[in-house]
Amino acid sequence: MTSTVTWTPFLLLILAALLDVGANILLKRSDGLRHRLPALGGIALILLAFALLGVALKSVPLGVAYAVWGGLGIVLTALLSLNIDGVRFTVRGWAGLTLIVGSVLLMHMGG
Amino acid sequence: MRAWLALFSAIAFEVIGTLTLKLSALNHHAAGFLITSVFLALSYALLALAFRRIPVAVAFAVWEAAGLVLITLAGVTLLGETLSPLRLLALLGLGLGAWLLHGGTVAVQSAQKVVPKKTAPVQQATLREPTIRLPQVQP
Repeated sequence: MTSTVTWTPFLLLILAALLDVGANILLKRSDGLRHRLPALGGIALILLAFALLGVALKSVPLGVAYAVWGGLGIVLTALLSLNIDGVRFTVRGWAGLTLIVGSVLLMHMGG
Repeated sequence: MRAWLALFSAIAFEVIGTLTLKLSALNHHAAGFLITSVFLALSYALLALAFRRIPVAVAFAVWEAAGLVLITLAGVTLLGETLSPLRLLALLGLGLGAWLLHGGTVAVQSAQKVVPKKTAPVQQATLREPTIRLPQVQP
């Protein structure tokens, strides 16, 4: 029974991270704000993501919330960048990505 | 260079926006979220400008990493928060990670540039033909 109570904020955080990633794609599509619709859509998604983050913060500590949200956002955005930017990561790039995610987790859980 | 200027400005707005959210949460100001929204919208608009030249993976990771470092440092210096050794280590890791990711993200196009080099010998072969024909002209 309590599992539904503890999992809801994490689902909100995952949804917030997905909205953030979606916003990044729209902002990329806007070509530096030249296309109004994706630009406005992207910023709307960001504000929605932060609203969800705010709701999740009522039952999850700030540190844990930012760790889940920030870590997921970086990883998913980086993986999508492989497609939308036509880039690839060298071993050095993957090491950097891993180090960032590890540091985000350390920053918020290793108080 | 312009894209990096946009990225650093985006980070500045992100830090101001998050600090506003934190301060308004501490002082129970309802207007805080509205002010934060404006700063975040500005920050993401600048991020969109940066996306034109910098790969999304690099720009977003630098934005997130630099933002966290500056917000944490601001929390320590302005709000009197304490910084544990583990968090100091995490700050260094974020900086190093962003630097590694920046250097380790390469365009797939640079890998495709290797392909024309393989076709280059064909062009050399066509260049050789006249040199073969030249002796035929002599008799």
